[in-house]
Amino acid sequence: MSAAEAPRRLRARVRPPAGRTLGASAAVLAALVVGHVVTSAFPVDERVAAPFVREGAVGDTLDLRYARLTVEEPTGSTVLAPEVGSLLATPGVWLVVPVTVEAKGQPRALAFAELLGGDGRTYTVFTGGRSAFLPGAAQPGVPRYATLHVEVPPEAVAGARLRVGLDVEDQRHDDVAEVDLGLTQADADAWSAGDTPVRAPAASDAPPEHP
Amino acid sequence: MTTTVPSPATTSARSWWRRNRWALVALPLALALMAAASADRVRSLWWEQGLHSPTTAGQGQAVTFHQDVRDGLGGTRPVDVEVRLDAVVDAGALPDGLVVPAGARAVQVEMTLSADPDVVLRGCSLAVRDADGTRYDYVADAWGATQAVSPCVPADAPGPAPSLGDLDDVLTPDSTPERPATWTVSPVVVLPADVQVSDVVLWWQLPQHVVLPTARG
Repeated sequence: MSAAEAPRRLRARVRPPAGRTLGASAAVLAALVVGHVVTSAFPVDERVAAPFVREGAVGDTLDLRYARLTVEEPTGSTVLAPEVGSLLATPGVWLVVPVTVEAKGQPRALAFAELLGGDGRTYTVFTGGRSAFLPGAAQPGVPRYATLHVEVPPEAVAGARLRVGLDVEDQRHDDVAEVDLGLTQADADAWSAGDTPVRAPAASDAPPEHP
Repeated sequence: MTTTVPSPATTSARSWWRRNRWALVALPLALALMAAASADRVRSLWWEQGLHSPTTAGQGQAVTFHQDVRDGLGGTRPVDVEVRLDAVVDAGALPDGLVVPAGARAVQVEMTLSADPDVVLRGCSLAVRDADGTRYDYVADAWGATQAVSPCVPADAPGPAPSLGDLDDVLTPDSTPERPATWTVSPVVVLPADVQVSDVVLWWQLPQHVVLPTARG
């Protein structure tokens, strides 16, 4: 490159006027601000990832994507008689809820449950441990009779709602049943004073025997 | 003679398209790449979670199935087997202890399989489906009975077990007899009484599976 060519090449790259540069910068900044407002100012994240909550009451059959679910009348006491092992006592209340699962499409093992207590707290029901829900796999068209037991303080009983779903890790974008257990303060008082063991039989395809 | 002189605005618009022509060409490609890159979960969360890649047999015909299944040790091992569905009938003699729930029935899936005795076939899953595609699985330990864990191999001669890597050296060697070259199995599946079976599905690792239509299906 000769010395005479260099200034000509530089001159060829015409700088845009300062006003235009400022205008373009302002437009880019405005676009970023609008993008930020759209993605963060509205609380859409939680709604986008939220489960489809199917609400019902005790005795209703809820039609979920993966199963039909019926929650029966709960019982309670301060002492629980699990299928195996010794009696479990609590300073609170044991809630025992019969749940009937009828799978749809393919066998399903429901694994998620939690109790939304009347005290505003959420009580996790693990697939193992003191509070448990272990329905096992249900074959489509063959009802599976399971019970769920959860240990809660007496103040959580009145107004408690039960949530049941498919995946223990992830309920996003999927159906979750939410059942109002119809419990009152009178139930809480009676159960927190009672020490007659309440049975929690293991899940089975045979209907539970009613005494 | 008059000539039309393009206005400065037209020139500037045309030069913008010209200046950005390669970026414009690359834009659809970049969009396609972006969609593909963000679709990586389609494979792990959907494709590999269901029965999506069938090998279908003719009715009453044997079908040859091949799959390289991941062995959990970073490699693959081949599954090479020939399967034929002989019949799906109401189970005559139920497995010990099996109690059929009310409103359900037990069917027996009779199949003939052939494979080299050194092919690992343990760990298979079996199900029957109705005309709507609803799937009823074979469950080894349910309804009070204990059936073979792998429904596709003889219970007393299931053949080689999958390798566990370095652990193989410290495990007791398999003492079961060699699997015959051809054998039959008849696992029992419990399903609602009014369901008519239209095909049988057999798989080792999803999404590949064998579909065996019944005479009715």
